[in-house]
Amino acid sequence: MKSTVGTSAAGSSEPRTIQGVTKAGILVFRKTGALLPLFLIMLLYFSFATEFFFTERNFGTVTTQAVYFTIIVIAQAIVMISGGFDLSVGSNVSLTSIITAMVVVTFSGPGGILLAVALGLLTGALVGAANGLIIAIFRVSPLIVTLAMASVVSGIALIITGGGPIFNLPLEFRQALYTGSVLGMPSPWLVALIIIAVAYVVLYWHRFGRNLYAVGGNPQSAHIAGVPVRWTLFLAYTVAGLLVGLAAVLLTARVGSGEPNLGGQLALQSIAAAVLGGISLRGGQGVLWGAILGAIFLIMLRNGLDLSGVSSYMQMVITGMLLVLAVVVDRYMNRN
Amino acid sequence: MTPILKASGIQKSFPGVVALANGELSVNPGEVHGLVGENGAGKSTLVSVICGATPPDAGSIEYLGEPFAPRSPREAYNAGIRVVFQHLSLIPFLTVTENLYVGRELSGGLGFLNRGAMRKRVDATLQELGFAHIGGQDRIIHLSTSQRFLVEVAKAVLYAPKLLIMDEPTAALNDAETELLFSITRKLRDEGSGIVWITHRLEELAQITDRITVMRDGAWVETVDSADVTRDAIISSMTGRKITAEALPPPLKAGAPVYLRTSGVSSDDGLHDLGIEVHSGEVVGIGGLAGSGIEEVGRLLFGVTPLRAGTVEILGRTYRRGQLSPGKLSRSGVFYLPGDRMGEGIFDVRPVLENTSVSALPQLSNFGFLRRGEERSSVRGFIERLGIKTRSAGQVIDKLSGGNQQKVLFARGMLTKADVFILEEPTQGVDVGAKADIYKVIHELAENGAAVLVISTDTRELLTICHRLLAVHDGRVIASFNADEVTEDRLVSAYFGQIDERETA
Ligand SMILES: Nc1ncnc2c1ncn2[C@@H]1O[C@H](COP(=O)(O)OP(=O)(O)OP(=O)(O)O)[C@@H](O)[C@H]1O
Ligand SMILES: [Mg+2]
Repeated sequence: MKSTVGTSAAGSSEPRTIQGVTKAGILVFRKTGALLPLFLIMLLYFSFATEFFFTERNFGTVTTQAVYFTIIVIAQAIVMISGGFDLSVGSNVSLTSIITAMVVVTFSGPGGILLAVALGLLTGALVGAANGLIIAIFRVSPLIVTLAMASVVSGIALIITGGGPIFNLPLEFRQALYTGSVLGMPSPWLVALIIIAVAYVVLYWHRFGRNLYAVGGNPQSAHIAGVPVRWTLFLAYTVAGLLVGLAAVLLTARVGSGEPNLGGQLALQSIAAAVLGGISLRGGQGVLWGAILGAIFLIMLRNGLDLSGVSSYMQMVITGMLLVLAVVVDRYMNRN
Repeated sequence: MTPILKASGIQKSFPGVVALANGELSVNPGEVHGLVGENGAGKSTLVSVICGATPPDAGSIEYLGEPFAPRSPREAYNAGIRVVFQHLSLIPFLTVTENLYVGRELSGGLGFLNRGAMRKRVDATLQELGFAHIGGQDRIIHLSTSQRFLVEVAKAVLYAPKLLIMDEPTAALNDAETELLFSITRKLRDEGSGIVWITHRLEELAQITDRITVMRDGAWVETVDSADVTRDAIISSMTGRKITAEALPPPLKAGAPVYLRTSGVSSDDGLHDLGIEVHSGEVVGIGGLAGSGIEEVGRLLFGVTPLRAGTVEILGRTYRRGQLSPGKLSRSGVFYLPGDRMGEGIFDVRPVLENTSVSALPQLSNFGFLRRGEERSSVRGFIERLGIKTRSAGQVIDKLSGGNQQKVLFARGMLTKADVFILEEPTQGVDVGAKADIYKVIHELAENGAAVLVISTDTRELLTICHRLLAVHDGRVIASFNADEVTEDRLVSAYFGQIDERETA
């Protein structure tokens, strides 16, 4: 067995570097299919079509937008790797937003903010856990379970608020979680970076990650190899719910109100981003950075389309078509 | 005489691997042609090219005297080529009849299915082939691995094939089923079909084949008349070395504790009052005919299918109905190698590394955090030790040849350092050389104090590696033998239920 280490060695000479870059390019292509070419086409197009796209300010805007979405796509990727998906992420965001806003409006001061964040995270995690429990115990289709859950959770959010938003959130809440910064970095960016780091460690350096891929790859083989299949599934949906809750809390701070419709199209969009990033719908396949890249891609696309004056209705059409394209590419790349 | 098939100079590369450097195969009508070579020699790839599933990089095929370049399996099928693949290709939730006609259903004038005609034809075929224990209306998921293979055979011969290729058809079959397949094959041959017979059970070559083609490292080595060669000659042209399949189990230590004991164990599917005892340091084999219940023993002991009655004692702990589960048993030092490699063994989309280490992760981590360096180096150690042909530990297991996938599953067990091993068909699809390696490893396990239970349809394998053999007949262990005191014939007649008083278990 020959070792293939060496191309990334430090102080490598010119051709080595080129080789390394080519290799990395091939890897990205293999893992994330059509994403890379699409990314390049998009960047090229927008840099010509709009003046504002390649500016520092727009970079800041895009990054901030990407933060929330990336966290949700990571959540979606986790359940997709386990062989399912979560159609309730959007509703979960809405409910969490309501709960967080209600708490923060009711209890003032730093204690209130902490409580609101905690209960927001708990709400997200509980919705995820409910999904996970049903899917793990009864081994029923995540499609139906999470679709039904989406309806239940949206309904609850609307019942609680009577349909309208919750206003008058304290300024400190917004300051802490949106406008504030730590060491010169906006706090949502920091949170996202931490989440990415933790997700990386958990997926690739922890047993849970291996078990997740195994369960998604072949649940029956996993069961027989001694992997705790049910527990892994339950954890996957719970952790995903927790992440979605976190994104929802951050989003609530950003929009400055509790919104029963905050989740909108997130379910479809997050699945589209994940699939574009090479997370297979058949489970057990795909890597974290692929999902992140997919998320950034969709956000940049939306930003570019906004700047070019494309209507949001048209953007829905485009997102839908991209999902179809991504699924087809996924199927083609992975067919036997 | 024009050969039915003549493939020459076939080349095929995959990223980083040359699967075929020079594939040659020529099959005459009325001939059974053996195709042999080590794991990863390129046999299945050659079949895949011939049946239109893989486009070759170079080379030519003549079929019935005409140039032939099938662009899809369907095209090859319509030309009269049938393949029984190494990996089962049946649809689990459909019935046998539906599977036999999938994609080519019989229908009446308006496109409505002619179920009656299909059912009749299938029942007649099953009858004619002698597969009395398989019903046309059985769903595939309810069949055992060997029955599924026979259904594949039935599917291939439903309409007389001109060329029938069977890729390791006997790997999952026991002796009686193998015999049955021989007679089916001979009948087809006498009717003028050409048959390609791929196998790692070399003793079959003398019994069934007329000529033999040997491949090594993706290239044709020689084609010889079966009558003119010995088994040893075949082995040395396959491997370029001599292999002694002889392997004696290590001597038993007196007073070794019992690691696995069952008493009065019954299942819902026909095992009764099963009594098994395996000591530390002992290799015990279980054999029996198809339908005798041996297919179920491993699953039952490992908690995959439920226990109906009785107790299982493993490593000092007693389990009753509802208490056995794969997770619990893995954690307490038991490893089970399933017989259904694709369905219950491998994670086809994951790399060799993860496939190997999956059961040993608890030992390879601290507080759940993996020691990846150690994991990688131990997996590499087993890749080397068992000669697993893979581009790297990071290669997706799906891309490995069947025998090499099997070796990965075996390595998975080794890595767990378990105390009790339940091995179901541990060497299915593995070549002669690797088989000898695996036998050696099994004996090392026993020598280091593990209890090993081998469930196998290969009687010779059981006789070679075990200390003690249990014959299962009709769901019960009816006889127990010391391996050095029993002949193959004796064992097989016990499988059929014929025993002497003193042999009673
Ligand atoms: N799709 C693929 N991608 C990469 N490598 C492949 C692919 N298919 C086969 N190979 C490689 O080609 C070689 C030949 O494989 P093949 O399955 O033909 O072997 P085989 O002779 O049938 O072995 P076995 O006896 O184990 O079934 C192996 O090294 C295998 O890893
Ligand atoms: Mg093969």
